[in-house]
This record gives sequence, C-alpha cells and structure tokens, in this order.
Amino acid sequence: MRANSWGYAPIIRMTNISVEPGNDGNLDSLIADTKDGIYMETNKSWSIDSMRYNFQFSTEIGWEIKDGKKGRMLKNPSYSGITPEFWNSCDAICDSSEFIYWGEPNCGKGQPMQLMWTGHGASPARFKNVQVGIARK
Amino acid sequence: MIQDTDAKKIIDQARNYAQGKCQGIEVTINANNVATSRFANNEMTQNQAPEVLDLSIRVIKDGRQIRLSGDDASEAGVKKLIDSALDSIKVLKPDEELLPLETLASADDFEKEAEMASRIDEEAMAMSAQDRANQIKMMIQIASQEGLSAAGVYASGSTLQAIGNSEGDGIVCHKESSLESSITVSTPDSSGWAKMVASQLRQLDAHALADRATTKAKLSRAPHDIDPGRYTVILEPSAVLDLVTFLWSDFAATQHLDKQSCLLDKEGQKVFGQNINIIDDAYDDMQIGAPFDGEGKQRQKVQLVKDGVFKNMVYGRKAAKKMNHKPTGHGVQEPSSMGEHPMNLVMTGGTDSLGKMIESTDKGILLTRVWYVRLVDPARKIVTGITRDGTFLVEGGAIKHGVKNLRFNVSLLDLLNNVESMTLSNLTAGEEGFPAVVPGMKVRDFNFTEMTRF
Repeated sequence: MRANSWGYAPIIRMTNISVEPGNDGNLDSLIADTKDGIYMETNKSWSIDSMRYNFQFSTEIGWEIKDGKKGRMLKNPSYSGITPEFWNSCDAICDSSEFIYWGEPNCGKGQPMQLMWTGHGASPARFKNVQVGIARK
Repeated sequence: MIQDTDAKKIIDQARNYAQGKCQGIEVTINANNVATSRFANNEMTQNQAPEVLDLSIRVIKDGRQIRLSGDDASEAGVKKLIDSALDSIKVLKPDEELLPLETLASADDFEKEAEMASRIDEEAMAMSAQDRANQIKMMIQIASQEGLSAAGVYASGSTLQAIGNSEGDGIVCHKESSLESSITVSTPDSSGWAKMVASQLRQLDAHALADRATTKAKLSRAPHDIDPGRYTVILEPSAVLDLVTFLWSDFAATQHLDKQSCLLDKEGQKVFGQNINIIDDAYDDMQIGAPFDGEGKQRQKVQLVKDGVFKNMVYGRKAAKKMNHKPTGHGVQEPSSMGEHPMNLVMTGGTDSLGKMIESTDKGILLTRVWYVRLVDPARKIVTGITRDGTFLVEGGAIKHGVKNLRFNVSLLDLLNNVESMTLSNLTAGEEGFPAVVPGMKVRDFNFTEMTRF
C-alpha cells in the first residue's frame, strides 16, 4: 500500500516487481541461439485490458534475427497477446549479467489520480509464437 | 481553503523576500479542498477531505532558472523555499532559452481577473460529506434494485490557482467549484460505466449516471464472441474524448519545432473531414479551468481546425519567439521542454442522437468507453486501446447484445476523416486526459485487431 503524499489514500501498488534472471547466458548468446525471430529494444508504450488478459506493447526499434544473427532494422515494432499464454511461451531468460532495474516515473492509478515511480527489473527473455505488428493489419 | 487575498499575501511575501537576491521570481499557488467520497460493493467506503496547497516557486538568477515546490506557505516556509532555490540554482547550467518574466495584470485588476470566466457555484462548494453520501446512497439504490453491484466516487469542493511574479505587483487568480462523479455497475460477466465532471451542481446528474451505468451492465450480460475486423462504430462522447485527447499535443508549436507532431508541415491543409471543427476556448460556457496559462498569460481563443483544415497551433512564449508568432496563452509552467498545450478543447458537434445513430446502423459496434489508450506510431498517429464497460453489437438498427471487449489499433488521422455523423457536444469526462467539450460520433472503418477473454 502506498500513497502519493499525505493527502491521498494509500492504494495497492506493484512498485518493485521483477523477473528473476535465468540461466540462458547473455544477450549475444540468446540471439545466436535464435533461428528466426525479432529482437525488440526499448519499451515505448503499453496497453492492457482491465483484467490484464489482452495486452499490446510497443517498442521504438527492433531487428530481425535470422539464423542467429541480427539483420534488418524494424521501426515501431509491437507485440500483443494474452498474458498467461505469453508467459507460458517464455523459453529462455538471460542471466544476471544482463539484469537491469528499469524505471517508470509516472505509473498512474486511482481516482483522484496518483502518479508514482515504479522499478521493474528484467534480463532479456525469449518468447515463442508471439503476435507482432498487429497495428499494421 | 485559502482565498484570493491569502494567495496575494503569500506571493507578495515571496516577492519581497527575493528582492535583490535574484533577477526574477515567479510564484504559483495551486490549492484545493476537493473531498472525495467513495463507494464499492454497494456500500460507502471512504470520505477523504484534504485541504491541499502546493506552493511552487521559480527563481531566475545569472541566466539560470529553477523551480522548487512545497506545501508550507507560512512566511518561514516561503523563505525556506526561496533559500533552497537560491542554493540549488548554483549547480545548474545557464538556460540558453530562458526568457525574462513578463508583467502580469496589475494588482488593482486581480479581482477582475478572478471574476473572468467565473465558474463558482456556491451550492457545489458547500456540499458536505452528508450531501455526498446522500448522492451515493441514491446511486447505489439504482444499481442494487436490479441486484447489481455499484462502485465509484462523488467528489466536491473548489480549486484555486494564482500566479504572480517579480515584474510589477500583478497577480492572476482563478477560483472555481469542482464536482466529479463516476460509477461502475457490475454483474458477474459484464459492467457499465458513466462519469461526469462539472463546475456547477446543475450540470452533474448523478441519478442519470447511475441509470446509464446500470442499464449498460444489464444490456451487456453474457457477452458474445465477435471476430475482430473493421466495423462501423458508434462512439459515446467519453470514447471520443479518450481517443482524440491523444491528438491535442499535435497542435502545440513545440511539437512542430521538435518535428514530433503528426500534423507537421500541414498547417493550412485539409487534414480531417469537412465536418471537423476544433477550437481551444477557455471561455466557452461548458469549459472549466483557469483563463491563464502556466506563466500567467491570458488564454486566447484559438481555432485549431476549421472545416477539416488545420488552421492554427497554440504557442507558449519560447516557441512563439522561435517561430516569430505571438504567444497564445497556452504555455506550461517553466522550465519545461513541453512548451505549451491546448487546454480547453471544444469540438463542434452535430444534430444526431445516439439513438438515431443506432437506428441508422445495419451492422456496427457501440462503444461506451475506451481504456488504456497508448500511442503505437506517432507519425501516423496510430493508437491502441481496449473497449470497456459496455461494448455492444448493433444490427438492423438496434442493439443486439453485448460483445467481449476488443482491442483496436486506429489512426486518429483516419478516424477524423471517417466521421459520418455526430451528436451535440457537451463537457465530457474520460480517464486518459482532461475533460473537453466533444460529441458522440459514428465512424466507419474502425479497426479492431484482437478480442480479449471477457
């Protein structure tokens, strides 16, 4: 439970939820281990339904991966899906050498709105059979 | 809560203390006593009634500027904040874009300024916790009579904003009453929602909100699956607002200087359908908010879109100087990289009603609201989001049944070129941005890309 300040009611916040590092080497080795995929970098925007099932996240930049090598650059890539299916499709998580605590300065919740810093750590991870680029369909 | 005279006293204290210590000082006071009463599971759960004061001071010295804020507006608190700013500003680099402060309205005129665009309703400001509880009781009864569960808020109070700087003894001050109510009515497999904000009690019909939310929850029970694809949609005003709110920043001059606007180099060109007219007008009868910007400059009325043509953008002082244009009174608090933002949007509506839109639709989808809307492609202004709290299939001119919520990916540039008809415009509240005066819309080729599980 956290509040913006004394003038706000404390509400439940997920301020420090992280994905633990895995045992699948560093990012270079994960890319080298991928035959056909997309490496997405950054997180530009995120949208989820009110029960956290369907999501669509957009990134600024990505690269095709073919036979273990980064290839063509991709602009504004996005990925979407159903949360339990997406996390069940995760087949690799890089180790602690790649782990970063990412931050988000303005996570909004509540009425009246409360904005709060959040910190979520992760290493690069690989997910199979994910819908990408649906905005262009 | 503090009054206009209290705000002036605080600002004068700051001006006097800072004299000779720096080249300029700007003082902004935002205060409110908006109390929020909450309810959930058909019970009132909370009455939160804070008195909030935010004192924000910008100090300018040796080509540098800094803004610090706090909530202690006592004489000692004001001095401490200024001392902290004077101490901290030493470690900052000079700001090459810093503009000198400008003279605001004279002290003699500040009462007149306070009356400008007056939005004070004594009855709204006088609402007690019991009054709000009575409204909530009525809203809960409407849902519970149908065996449904209601949750929401009823908030009332007033806000005050005042700005003064060291260029003369001028001050601008605006006070208004503030009301907000929203309700979500739930069944095990559906929900309905309605929300309204207002400055006048007569504008907020909590009974109507509860009726709408309850009706929507009942109508959307047992939602059907539906294939994603392109549909004609009927967007209720809140759905319109939470989409077009992502377009407002594209009318900000700094967005054009930074080449971030989807309307870049299109001023004077037809960018939307002939039926789209948008104006930024702080003085519109239905609007709310202060008639001055973050630096205390009086807001100008700006026609943004006329008959689909992108006519004008809004300018803060920095962008105006760079673009050889007069500021329009839309600047945000400095220092800021944002520059300016339109704040009082008014879209011209049409003559249709939602009922007529439904009657004239062979196959389409009616959206109560959209949720968690986010930008996907800034140049084509594609946004994604999900429907919520009342999504319905319309067939043969009537609502057929509720459907499971759908994700959409829609270009706002396309959306405002595909508007077939509109309702009257009214002050509308959503969740993604600030309220605006917008209509409901019937829009063709709205792109649903996925369906969720409920």
